[in-house]
Amino acid sequence: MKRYAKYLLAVFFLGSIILTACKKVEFDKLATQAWSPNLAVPLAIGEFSVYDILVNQDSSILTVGPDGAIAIVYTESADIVKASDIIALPDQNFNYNGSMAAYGILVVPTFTGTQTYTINQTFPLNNPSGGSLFTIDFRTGNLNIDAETNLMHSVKYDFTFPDLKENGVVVTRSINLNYTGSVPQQGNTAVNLQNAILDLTNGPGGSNEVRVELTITITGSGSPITGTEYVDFGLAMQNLDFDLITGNLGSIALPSFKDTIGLQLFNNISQGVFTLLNPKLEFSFRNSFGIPVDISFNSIKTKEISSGNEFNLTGFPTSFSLTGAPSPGQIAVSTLTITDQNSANLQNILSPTPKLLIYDIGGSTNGANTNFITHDSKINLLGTLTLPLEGYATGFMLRDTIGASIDLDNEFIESAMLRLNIENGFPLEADVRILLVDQNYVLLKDLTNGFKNLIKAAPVNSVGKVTQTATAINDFIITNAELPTVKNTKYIIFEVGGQTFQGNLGTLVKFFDDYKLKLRLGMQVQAKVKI
Amino acid sequence: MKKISTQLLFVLGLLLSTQTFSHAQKNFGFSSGFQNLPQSHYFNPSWNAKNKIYFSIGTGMHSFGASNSGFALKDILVPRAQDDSLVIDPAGAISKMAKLNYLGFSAQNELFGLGINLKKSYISFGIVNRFDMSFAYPKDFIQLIFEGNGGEFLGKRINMDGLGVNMNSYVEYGFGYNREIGSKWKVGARYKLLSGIANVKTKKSVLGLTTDETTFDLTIDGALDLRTAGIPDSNSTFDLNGAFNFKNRGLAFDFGATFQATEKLKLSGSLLDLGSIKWTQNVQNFSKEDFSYTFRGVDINQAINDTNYFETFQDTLKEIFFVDGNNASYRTALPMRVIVGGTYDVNKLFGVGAVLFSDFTNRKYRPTLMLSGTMHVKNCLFVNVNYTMSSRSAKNIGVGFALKGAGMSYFVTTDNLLGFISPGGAKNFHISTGLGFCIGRDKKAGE
Repeated sequence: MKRYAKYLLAVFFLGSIILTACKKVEFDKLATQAWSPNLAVPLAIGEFSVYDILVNQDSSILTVGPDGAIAIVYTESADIVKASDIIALPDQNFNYNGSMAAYGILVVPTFTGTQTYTINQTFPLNNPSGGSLFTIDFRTGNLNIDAETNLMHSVKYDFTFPDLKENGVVVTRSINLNYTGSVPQQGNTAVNLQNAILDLTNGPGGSNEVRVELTITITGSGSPITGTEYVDFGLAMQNLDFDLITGNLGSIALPSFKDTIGLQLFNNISQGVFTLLNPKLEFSFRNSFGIPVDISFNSIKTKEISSGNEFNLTGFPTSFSLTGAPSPGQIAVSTLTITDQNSANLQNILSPTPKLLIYDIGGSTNGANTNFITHDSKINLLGTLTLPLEGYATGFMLRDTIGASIDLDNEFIESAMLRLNIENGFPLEADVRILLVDQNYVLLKDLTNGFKNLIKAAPVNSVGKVTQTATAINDFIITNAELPTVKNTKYIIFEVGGQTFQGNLGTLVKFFDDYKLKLRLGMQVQAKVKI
Repeated sequence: MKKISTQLLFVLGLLLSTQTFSHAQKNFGFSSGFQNLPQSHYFNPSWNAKNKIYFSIGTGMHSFGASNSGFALKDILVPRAQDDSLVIDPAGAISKMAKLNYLGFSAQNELFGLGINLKKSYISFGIVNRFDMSFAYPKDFIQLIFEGNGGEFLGKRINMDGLGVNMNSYVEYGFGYNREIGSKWKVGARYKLLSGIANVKTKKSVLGLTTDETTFDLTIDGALDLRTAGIPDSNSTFDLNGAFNFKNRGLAFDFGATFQATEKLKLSGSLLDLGSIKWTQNVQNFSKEDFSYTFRGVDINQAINDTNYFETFQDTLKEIFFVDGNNASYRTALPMRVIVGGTYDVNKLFGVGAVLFSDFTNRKYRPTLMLSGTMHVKNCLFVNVNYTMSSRSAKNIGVGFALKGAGMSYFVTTDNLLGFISPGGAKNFHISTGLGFCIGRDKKAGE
């Protein structure tokens, strides 16, 4: 047993050492500390073409040339002259006072039996617009016919209007006045002129004349004809409107017309110089009058809204003749194009950040020959300013404000870094200042610490085309101490100063439709979570 | 207290939420020095007790183990410089990790045991509950949790391949037989019918996250083949009938041999758990083909032009990360082990031994070497001290005690005593204990 005792003793001795060496993990001594992972995530990605950048904020239209070159096109369309501006048909009144002698009626003490007498009258058409009217196709109107006589006999009026036709038939009307013992006798009738055609050329003057043939039939009552009686009638043409007027309308002054094209591309730009080469201002007149028109430009100018300064276009053709439409319902298009070649300063008046293009137009018709006007005749003017995105710009500034909310909790965030990665395919660079402001526009943080070159210009070749993109990566850091302040952000103000690639050197750049700007926004957060 | 609870939950949650897997390391301490105990035949079917009859009902052997190959508690909880408070040191823990680390739990419980010694043969029958669960957590995954993706990982793929869980729960019904062949050889085998309770097998798990160092674009890539059986969902509970209904049926074999080279030197070898289970009940499989998706941020163009952009984006994500499911039965192999070793009796009281354990779980070879010394006192008291060295742990000293007599045999053993003495520095915790009843005198004791 003694032999085993030493082994057992050794075992227990070893066990004692081991057990006394027990070392517990003292979890109750765990101290508070921070868990600080660093997280990086992409926030946004976007690829913007010139269409995305310009069209979304501008009602202008971009056009692409066969080589892909882009131009901004501003258009403004308006009817500068309507038919009612050229000619209007006033109410017409024709009265005839017919004596017995005028009709050739003899004086008799007692008149019995029936006698017929005929007279022809021609009345002038009142045409305040001037010119010679040949025909009128009436759209609306009435011809009211009144008859009155103090003959003590029954009288029948038979009117014939040889130049007025309804559906191709000469218009006639009759009025019967049956004597009942009292005078004067009165009667009336009317003609609806809608769709009636009046030929004004058969009078002795050859135009502007309306002929009437009146036959009266007197049926005797046994009373005398003293020779002092009358047989009168009156014609009143009222509410006249036309579908078509033909004639030699002569020279009618057009009302003055003024229109404006807003150049919204420049809306946010407060200063800078733009030199856009080869601008083109085009006036396209669509004339549906059958009359040539002489157009005169009273002025063409641009105007800065902010300063009110105006810049007049000079040296351009101020007069321009429009051909008349060949036939009713057709349109004659005449276009005047003004460029740097036929003006003195079109490029210049567009350079100083203009906001409005204003043109003032007058003129007159030139109706030397037979011509026409329809009810819907008008002159429509389509003003088009085409600005090829070709040239250079320097020193321009723009500013924009967007609503924003930044919800970064300083309890869990040690710092936050926003990374803006812009791969620019445009020959345009920008120094940008990003300001975080509160609801009262009080500055909370200048995120960029002044202006920073966030967008680098893509270089161009000798013809102004971009040869490669330019990438700029910028980080914006918000520290834990700044977060409580930054949380009050309500707006972000972007102030941008920019120029085209080497715009200060006058390097020509062109914009093509395949240019792209790729934007990547990421965020890296150093978190801080107490555990 | 609240603070401590939060931190403990953080640490434990970090470990458990990894949902990883690996082999669960076994308690090797039993297999060296206690070859004469009745339960020894679980490590080598050619081993057995010398009593006429052995039996146990519920007490024969209970073995529990837990291990974490990645780091020990002391690696992640370190004293603060200015005082003796402890702080979490993720960098310390991460520095100890391998590319893929394992957190494992295992249990082996003999529910019933019977062994009968014949002249030269030994027959046995046992019902044993087996449970193994293991999680694998990639180092990068832990580093991602602690450090985020914005630091060291920028521009690199965060490799979380292998992230997953394996779990195997079944009951084995084993019939054993061994026989002496000549004076030097003894061979044995055990035929085991297996009734599966539950299984989780992560057959394929690929997961990577790459953050572009300039744009911070996030690219996630991966693939998944996850198979489960008997795992309850929110509307059901574990069905323990699987322990005996054999609906998830399996078959396995253990083989063993012992060679008495000299009077003092004995060599042995065993091949354990060669078999598989076919899982057919309550199967839910999930798979995802290789995929890769890059999130570049909210697409401003689309967000402006499409009022339903964010709904569309959600639908896109659902489509990309949609996991296919099916209920097809599947088969899993048991984690096969090979144990070879030898003992040398220095004298009648004291012997030494060496054992090499080879684990082939998940087609990976993990060797473990154990050196031991065992004292025998009158064949009734056994005291064993052992040292175990595995690929990622070389600080395992174990002890074991066994008592035999009065018709009973009792043992308790561990292969890592330090795990209990200094848990902060331990990566493995194992303990096995058991009480069996013996009828008939021990052959040796009777000699």
